[in-house]
Amino acid sequence: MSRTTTERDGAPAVLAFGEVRTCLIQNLGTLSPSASVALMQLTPGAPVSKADRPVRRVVSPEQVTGVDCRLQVAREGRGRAIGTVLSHATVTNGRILQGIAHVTLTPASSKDRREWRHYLQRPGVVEVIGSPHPHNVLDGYLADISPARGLDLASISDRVIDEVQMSSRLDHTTALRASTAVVRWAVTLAPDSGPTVGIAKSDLPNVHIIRLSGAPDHLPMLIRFCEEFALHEWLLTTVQDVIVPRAETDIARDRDPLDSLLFALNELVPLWMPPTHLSPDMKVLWEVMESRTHYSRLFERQVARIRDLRDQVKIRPPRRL
Amino acid sequence: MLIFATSDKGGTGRSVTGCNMAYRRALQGEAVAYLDFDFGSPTAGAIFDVPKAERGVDSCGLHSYFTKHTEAQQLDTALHSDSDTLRDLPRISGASRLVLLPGDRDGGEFSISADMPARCAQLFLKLDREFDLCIVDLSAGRSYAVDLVLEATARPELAALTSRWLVFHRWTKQHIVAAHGLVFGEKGLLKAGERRGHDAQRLNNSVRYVRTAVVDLGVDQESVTRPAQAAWLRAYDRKLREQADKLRMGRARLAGQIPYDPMLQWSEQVIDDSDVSGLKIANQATVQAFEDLAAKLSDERFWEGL
Repeated sequence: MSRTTTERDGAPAVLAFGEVRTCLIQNLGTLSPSASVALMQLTPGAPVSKADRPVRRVVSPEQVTGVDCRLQVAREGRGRAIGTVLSHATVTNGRILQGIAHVTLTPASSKDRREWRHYLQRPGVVEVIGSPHPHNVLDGYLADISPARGLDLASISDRVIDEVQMSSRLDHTTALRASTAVVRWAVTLAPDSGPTVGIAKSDLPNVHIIRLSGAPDHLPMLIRFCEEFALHEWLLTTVQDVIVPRAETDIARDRDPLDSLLFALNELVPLWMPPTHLSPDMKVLWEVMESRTHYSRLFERQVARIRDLRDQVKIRPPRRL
Repeated sequence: MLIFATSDKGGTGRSVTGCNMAYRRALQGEAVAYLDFDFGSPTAGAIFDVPKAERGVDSCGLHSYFTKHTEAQQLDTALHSDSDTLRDLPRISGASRLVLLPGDRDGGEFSISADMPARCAQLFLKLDREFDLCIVDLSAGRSYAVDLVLEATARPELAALTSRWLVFHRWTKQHIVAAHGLVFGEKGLLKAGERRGHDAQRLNNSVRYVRTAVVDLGVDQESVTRPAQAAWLRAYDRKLREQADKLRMGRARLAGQIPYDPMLQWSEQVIDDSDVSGLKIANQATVQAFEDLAAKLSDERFWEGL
C-alpha cells in the first residue's frame, strides 16, 4: 500500500477491517452473570471484562490468529497480507452472543516476508506487501462477501461463535430459531479526520455493510459502534422477521403464539439500549445512523405490534351464542 | 430436529422422497435445511433443480466442509432453483424457507479423521439455531457418512437435539431383507451406534421405515388389467406384509408408503398440487403420501417407544 509517513515502530495504519456476527446463545434459560463470565473465559488466565449497566455485557480476551494471504483487491493492484487478526466474543444480558474479528492494515516494512516474531510484536496488524491503492483494497474487502476469499475475517468470527456455542457449559437447547446476522465493516483511517459512518444493506439476507472513517484514536470507539449496531440490527430483524410473522401465522392457523411473543417482550425488548451514553463521539455517530435508518422508531412500532398480538391472544372475545 | 434418511440399496427413491418431504414441511411454515451427505454422488441439487449444484457445487460443499474445513454454503431454493414450485414458496402465506446444503462435484467417500465428528456436531448445532428441521440425506448402504453422524449424535452437545431415522426400501422381498440387515445386521446401524455410545434400544426406537414405489391397486387400475394379475398382486402384497411384520418392520414402524408414480420414475423432482390438479402429470396419491409422511415426522405419539 502507498505510504504516507513513516514511524519507527512501523508504518501507521491506513485501513481497519472487521466482521461481527450476532446470534442467540444456544441455551434454554438466560445465563447468570457468573456463567456468562465463565463462558467468555476463552483464554485461561487472561481477564474477562464486564459492564453491568445499562445492560450486562461480558467481553472475552482478544485471541490472535496468524494470517498470510492474498488480498481481494477491487479494480487493479495486488497485495499480500501477513500478520495477525484479533478476535473476541461478547455476551449481552446472558442471551446474545457476538463474535468479532478485526484487523488493521499497514504498508509492509520490507518486500519479503519476515519471521513470525516480527508480526507478533503488533497483534491485530497485517502488513501489506505490494502497493494496491487503499480504496481498491477497501472495496475489494466489502464487495466480496462469499464464499470467503482473501482476508477471511468471516471464518474467524464464525469460529468464535461456534467455539462458544459448543461449550459444555450450555445445554444446547434452541430457545428461539433466528438467523445469525453479519455486519462487515471497513474504516478509512486518517490522522485528523472526524468519525463518519455510512450503512448499506447487501444483496444477501442478514448481511450489512458499514463504511466508516476516523482518526486512529477513534478505532476502539468505531469497533464498538459496529458491535452495537450489529446487536440492534439483529434485535430489529428478529422481532420484525421472526417473532411478528410467526405469531400472525400461528394466530391464523389457530396455534398458540404466546411463547415467542413473551420471549420477545421479556428477553429481547430490554436489550434495546442505544450506546449514546458511551462518549460524545459515539452519541453523534449513533444519531447520524438513527437519522437515516430510524431504527428506534421501527423497533418501537414492532414492540407495539407484539403487545397488540399478545393482547389479542389473551383477551379472546366471547363467542356469540 | 434432525432426520436421517438412509437406505440399503440405491434407486429406492430415498432422495426424491426426502426432498418432497422437505418441501412439504417448508410449506407448513417450518424452516428446513436439506443436507446432501451422499458424498460420492450428490443428487439433491438435481432434484431441487438448482443448476449450480446439479451434481454438487464447485467449492464449499459439505464434502469440503469436512475434508478442507471450508464453510458449508447454503443455497436458498427460492433463489437458486429453476423449479417454479420452489421459486414460489416465499409467496405462499405462512410458508417458510427451504435451504440446500449441497455436496461437492468431485467429492467421493472419505474416511473419518479424528476431528470430523466434532465438526459434524458443530454443523448440526449451528443449523438447529436457525432451522426447525434438518433432513440429512445419507448415501445408500453402510457408508462413512452413517458412521460420522452416529458418532456426532452420540456426543453430549447434541443430547438436546431430537434425532430420527427413516430407512427407505422398495416393496420387494429382497429390499425388505436388505433394509432389515441395514438396521439389525452385524454391521448394521444399531451395532455401529452401540459401538459409538448410543443405547441400542433407544436408537432402534428412533428408526422408522418408508416403503417406496408401492404399486397401489386402487390407483393403478390401468396397469393391472387381468383379474388373475390383481389376485396374485394382492396375495403377494399380503406375503410381503407378513414378512415385514416378522422382521419388526411392520405397520407400527411404518412412517410412510409412497405409491409407484410414473412421473417420479422419469423425472425426480419436487411436485406440488398443480402437477396433480392443473397438469395432471402426477398422481394425487403421491402428493398425499408426501404430505402424510411429512406430518408423521412431528407426530409425537407415533415416535413414542414401542
